[in-house]
Amino acid sequence: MRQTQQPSSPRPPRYPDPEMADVTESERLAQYKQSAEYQARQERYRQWEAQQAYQRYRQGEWSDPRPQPKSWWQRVGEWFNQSKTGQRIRNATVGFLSGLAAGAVTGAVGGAIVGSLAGGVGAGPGALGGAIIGGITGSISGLVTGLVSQPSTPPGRVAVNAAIWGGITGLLAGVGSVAAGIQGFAHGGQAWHIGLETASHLNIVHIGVHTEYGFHIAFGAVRPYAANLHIYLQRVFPFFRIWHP
Amino acid sequence: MSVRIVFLNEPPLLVEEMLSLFTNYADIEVGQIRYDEEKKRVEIPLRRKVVDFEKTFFGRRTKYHQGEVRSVLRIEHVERLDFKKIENALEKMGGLVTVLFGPKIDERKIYVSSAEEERGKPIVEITMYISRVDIELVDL
Repeated sequence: MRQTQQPSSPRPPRYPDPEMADVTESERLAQYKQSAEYQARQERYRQWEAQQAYQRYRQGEWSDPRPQPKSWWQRVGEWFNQSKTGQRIRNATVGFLSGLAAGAVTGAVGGAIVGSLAGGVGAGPGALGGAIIGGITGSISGLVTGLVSQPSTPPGRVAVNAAIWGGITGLLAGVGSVAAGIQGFAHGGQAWHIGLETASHLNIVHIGVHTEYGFHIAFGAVRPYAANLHIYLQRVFPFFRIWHP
Repeated sequence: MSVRIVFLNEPPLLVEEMLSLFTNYADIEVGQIRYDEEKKRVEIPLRRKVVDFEKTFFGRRTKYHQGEVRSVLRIEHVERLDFKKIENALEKMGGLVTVLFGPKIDERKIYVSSAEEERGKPIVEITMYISRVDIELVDL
């Protein structure tokens, strides 16, 4: 039955017990622990704890703790590290990225050197062209390296192997392309562009944003400065627009 | 052929597409572009392609013939003209550039761009700020 709480009356002020006035706090605590009241309270607590332990035992919560459910990313990580398919995908990804980085760096260095020596290209466009072409070839060779390596190969070793192969192929491709007169170009801002063209301004490929028509990719060339195929993305159906002379 | 489009506000997209049909792939003689500030008129001489349609398995397809038709694109009520060009590239092109998709029409602006780009930047960009849409395409 529910009882209504009565407003508690104000406590009377506590005055020091004249018999205990000269006893310190620790002595008072020691005396309390020897009292029957304290012993009874401790006994009740022990019984309650034993009852709780028994209940946990009945509910199967005893002994070893239950395994915690794993989050999805932990399971994905385990799949990448343990299953054959996951290991192959992991190695391919690691190889691709390592080959891309190594190929871009070696291609840029080689392209800059050859571009400064070759007429009509220049060090800057040569470095950019070498970096793009070196990055593409390096990433492909890194991807292949990752795919052909044993699935159980540690990712660190795959990365090193892919970087070596990516660097070599990137350097060769970058140097070769710049020597053949291919150069890169890039500029930022709202109408940014990045791409490859020949020294005679024949477009090879570029992507970028037109101020009015938006994002596009362009392949090939019909004459200097004129790409052969422009594909513009647009927001309305069919979501792209082609310009092909 | 003569087509005149007059709108007090932004015309429907269909109008822009119709004009684009005739002027896409046309060559602009950049040196012959005239802006009469008094009459607020811009004249862009074009060498447009002959447009035709052909039936295909997938439906009707626009076909551009090699023949050229000399035309002029006349835009009235031009308050201001913003004409950007890359001179050295334009010289190498012989003063001729190709129209990209035709004029892009907004309520207060008509924009024409060249398909030719110098490292991604259009060689010719013509932006006309207008008080009303009044465009005429006339064959000479």
